[in-house]
Amino acid sequence: MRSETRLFGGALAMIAAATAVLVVLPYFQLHDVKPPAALHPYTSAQLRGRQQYIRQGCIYCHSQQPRDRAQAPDAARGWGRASVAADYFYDSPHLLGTMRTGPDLFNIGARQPSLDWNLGHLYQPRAFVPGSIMPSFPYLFEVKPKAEPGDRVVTLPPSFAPAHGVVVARPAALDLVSYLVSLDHTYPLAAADTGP
Amino acid sequence: MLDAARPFMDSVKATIPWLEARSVGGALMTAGHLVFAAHFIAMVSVLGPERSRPALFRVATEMHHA
Repeated sequence: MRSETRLFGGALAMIAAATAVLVVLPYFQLHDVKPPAALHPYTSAQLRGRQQYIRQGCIYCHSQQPRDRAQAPDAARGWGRASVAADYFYDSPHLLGTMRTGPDLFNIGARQPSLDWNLGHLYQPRAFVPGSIMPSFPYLFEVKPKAEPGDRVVTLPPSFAPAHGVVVARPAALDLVSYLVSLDHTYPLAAADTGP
Repeated sequence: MLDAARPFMDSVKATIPWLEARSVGGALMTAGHLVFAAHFIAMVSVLGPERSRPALFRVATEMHHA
């Protein structure tokens, strides 16, 4: 080796350059972004549901970043307008996702606001979307012979309901659904929200 | 995916063979990792044969005076 100093100096310079471009520059672009007036912080149930979203791996197949009309027909599919940085104000970490095996979920709360639909769809996606390849999440539910007071019974199409008993949502399923229906970024943006 | 005239489910169906291929590829990679781990353990704990020359691609003449 001709010079260790040169090697380590070069490596440090590369890391410094990457940090400047990938960390410092975005920080100065985004550090004074304000939340849009119509966007609310998550409730604790929604935050617990957000942890479930991460834990169940929803992000591997679902994005949370509708594209611009020029890039993809997301708006025509009802997935909503292109998102801006301010839409993610309360998201830490953001759950942008990189793959769209399933549809974008950034506005699923506006598209499917029904708790029943979302609970039933988590229990058995095929009951609501024929041909869906989404995994079902039976362990977020419980099949009981009879519903007890305070139980959230899931309404299912008869052909997908268990032969005996009722399907009751576990707290994790209720949290996840309360997070999903909270995903509604369809509000119009003020000029301040779109940023420079 | 990019054609608004076709339903999203079409793109899901079009993905399925590729997802299956990905599963096969993932299984191969996992198997490869396990084989590598087995070889590594065998190497570290000196379970393999002791060699003083390359096991493969030996030049024919080398074999005579080995």
